[in-house]
Amino acid sequence: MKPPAGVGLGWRRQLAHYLDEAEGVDFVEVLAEHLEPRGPLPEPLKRLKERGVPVVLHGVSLGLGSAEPPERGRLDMLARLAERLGAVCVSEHLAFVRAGGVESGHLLPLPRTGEMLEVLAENVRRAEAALPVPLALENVASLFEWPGEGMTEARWLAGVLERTGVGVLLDVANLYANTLNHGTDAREVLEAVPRERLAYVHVAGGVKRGGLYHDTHAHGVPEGPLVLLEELVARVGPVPALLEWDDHFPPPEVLGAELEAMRAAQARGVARWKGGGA
Amino acid sequence: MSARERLAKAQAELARALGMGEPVPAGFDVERVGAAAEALGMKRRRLVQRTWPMLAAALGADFARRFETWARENPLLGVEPNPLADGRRFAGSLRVAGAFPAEAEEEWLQFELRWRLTDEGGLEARRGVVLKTARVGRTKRRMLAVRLPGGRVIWWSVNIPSPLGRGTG
Amino acid sequence: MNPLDWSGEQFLSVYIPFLVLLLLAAKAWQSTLNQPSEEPRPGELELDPYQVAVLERREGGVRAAVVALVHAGALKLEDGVLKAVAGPPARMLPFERAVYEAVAGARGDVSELEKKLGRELDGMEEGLRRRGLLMQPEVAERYARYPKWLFFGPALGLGLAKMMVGISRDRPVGFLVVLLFFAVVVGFRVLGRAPWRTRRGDKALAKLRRDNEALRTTAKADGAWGTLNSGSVAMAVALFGTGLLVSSGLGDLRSYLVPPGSAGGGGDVSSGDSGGGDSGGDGGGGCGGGCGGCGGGGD
Repeated sequence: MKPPAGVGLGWRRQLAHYLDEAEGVDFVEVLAEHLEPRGPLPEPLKRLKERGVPVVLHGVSLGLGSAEPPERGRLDMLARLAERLGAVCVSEHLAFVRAGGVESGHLLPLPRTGEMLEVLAENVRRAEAALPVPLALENVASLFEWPGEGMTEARWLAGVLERTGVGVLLDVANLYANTLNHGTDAREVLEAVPRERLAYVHVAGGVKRGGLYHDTHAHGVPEGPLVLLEELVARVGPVPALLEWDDHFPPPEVLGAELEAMRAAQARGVARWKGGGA
Repeated sequence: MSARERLAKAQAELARALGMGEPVPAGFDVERVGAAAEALGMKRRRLVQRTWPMLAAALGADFARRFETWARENPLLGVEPNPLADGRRFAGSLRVAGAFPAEAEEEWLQFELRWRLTDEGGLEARRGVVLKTARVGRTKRRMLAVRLPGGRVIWWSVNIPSPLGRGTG
Repeated sequence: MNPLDWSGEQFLSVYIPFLVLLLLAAKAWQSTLNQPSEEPRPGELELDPYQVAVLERREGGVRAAVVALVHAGALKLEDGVLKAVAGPPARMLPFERAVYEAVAGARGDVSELEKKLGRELDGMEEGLRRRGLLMQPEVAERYARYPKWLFFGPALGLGLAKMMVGISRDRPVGFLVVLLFFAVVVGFRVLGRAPWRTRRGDKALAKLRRDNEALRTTAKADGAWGTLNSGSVAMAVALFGTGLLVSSGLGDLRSYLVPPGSAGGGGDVSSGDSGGGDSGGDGGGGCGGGCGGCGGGGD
C-alpha cells in the first residue's frame, strides 16, 4: 500500500460520513482501541481501504513508557489489526497510561532521564519484534513535568532515535502546547528529527484555560501548530500531516477549512524549502 | 531496586495522585498536577456524558457534581477504559442509591440488552436472546424489549392508561 | 385414500411439507405480482431525503423533515411541544417549508401534523409510484389479496378439516392445533406485509442503505449531530429510522415522533426496532470515541 502523503484526518465513527464524501483527504489514521480485534471492520473503513486510501493504525493504550514491558496480548492485537487493515505503520506514544493497577485513561508524560530511556528502548524493541509493520512514536503534551533535571525534549527525542529504530510521529500541537506551558524550544525539537525518521505529523486544536494551553482535540486549530508545521516542511520538505478531532465535532465546512489551512501551511513550507530544487 | 522497579513506584504514585486524588508526589508542581487531574476528570465525565446522553440530560446540572463525587472513589477500570462501561458503573451506583432518574430508564435498558459489565469493569456483548422489561420515561410506560441473536433489538411500549389520563410520551 | 382418514402421523408427514410448499408458492406468487421488479437505474435514485423517507414508509416523511428542521434550528421541542422558531432558514425544500408552516400554524402531536400534510405526502407517494418504486393501487390490491388465500384457504383449510375429523373421532389433536396456530402466525409474517414498495422499490431502498453505510455509522455515533448537515440528518432518519436520535441525546424528540401508545385506547402497543448488528464492528465495543485518551492529548 502506498505511504501516506498530503493531508489526513483521524478516522472516527463521527467522521465516517465526512470521510466517505470528502475528496481532499489523502490518508486516515484509525484508533486501535475503537476496533474489535476479532469482529468485522466497520463498513465505511472497508470502503476507504478499497478506495486505496492509506491507513495508519494508531494506539493509545499500549503504554510503551511504562515501567512494565508491553503486554503480549496488546501487541498481538495491534499486530493483527495492522495486518487486517493493511496499515502502512503503527503509531504509539512516548508515554505511560497505567501504573500500579491504576488506569489513567490518558497519556502521561515520562521522566526524561537516562534510566527511563533504557527501559523505553527495551520496551520498544519488544514492540517492534511483535509488529508486522514499522512503529512510529509520538511526542506527548502534558500540563506538568517530572521534577529534577531531565533532558530537554529535543535531547530526549534525539536519545529515543539513537537508542531505537522507531520513526517519529511529530505532534506539532503537543509541541506547541509544551512551548506555551513549559517553554520548550520548539525549533530545537524540529531540528532533532531527520526526515528519514519522520513518519508523519499530527495537528490538533486546543484552547487556553486558566493560563494553560489544553490540547483538547475538540476546538479549532490555532495558528501556532500550523506555523510549526510550516517550519518543519521548510526544513525537511513535504511531510504528511493529519488532523485529529475527538469531541465537539464541527460541521463539515469547518472541518474542510481546517484541512485546507493545513494544506496551505504545507505549501508555504514547501515554497521555502531549499531542497525543493525549484 | 532495579530501574524498572524505581520507575514503577514513581509512576504508580503519580497515577494515583491524578486518578484518585492521592497526595501529589514530592517534587511535582502541585498546582499543575492538580490542573491535569481536573482536566482528566473533565474528559472522563465528558465521555460518559456522550455515551449516556439520556442519563446526563435527566440529571441536568446535578450530573457533573454527582459524577465527580463518584469518580473520585472509583478510578477507571478495565483493560481498555471504556466510557460506556464507566457510565454503566456510575449508573449502577445511582440505582443502588435509589437516585437513578426514570427518564433514563430506556438508556439503561438499551445497555442491558446489549452488554454485560464484567468484574474487571469491561464490557461483554450479550449473545442469543435477551428479554427485558422496564418502566420508562416520565409517564412510566411499560416497555418490553427483546434482543434477537445477531444484535437486532425490537421493543414494544405498552401504555396502560392511568387515572390521571394518558400520556403520549 | 382420503387424507382425512389417514393416521395422524401419516397425515402430518404429508401435511407439513404441503404447508411449507404452499407458503413458498404463495410468497413466490406475491413476489411475481409485485411489479415492476427490475433494478432501478442510477439516475432514478436521485431522490431527496423526504422521498426516500416516504419510500421507506409514509410516516417517515414528516419524521425526517421534523428532525432536519430541529437540526437546522428552525423547530424546537420544548416540554413535549414542537414549536417553530422565528426566522426559518432562507433555503428550504418545498416539503420542509410545508412542515415548518404546519408546525407554525398550530400545535399538536405528530399524527395531526401528518394529517395536515396529507396532500404533500400524497404528492410524494404519487411521484414514487410513477417511478415504479411504490405499488400502483391495482397491483397493491392483487398483491394483498390473492396469494394469501392460496395459503390460508387450501393449506389451512385442510388442516382445519382434519382437526374437525379428529375431534369428532375423539382423537388427540393438540399437536395439530399448535401447528395450525404456528402456521397462521408464520403466514401473516411472510404474506401479511401491507402493500407498499414494489420489488424495484425494495431494491432501490436496499441500494440506498448500502451506499449510505458511512452515514449510518456516523449518525449512530454519540455526539455526531454536529458533523452532519441537516440534509444528511434527514437522509439518516429516512433510511435508518428515528432510533438514532437516542445516541444524539434527542430521545424526547423521538418520543414525540413515535409516540408510545398513540393509537388511542387502553393497553395499546407500539413497537420499534433499533436496527441490527450493534455488536458488529461499528459499535467498536461501545467505545464512544476518543476512549483512553486519543493522540498525544495534553491536558
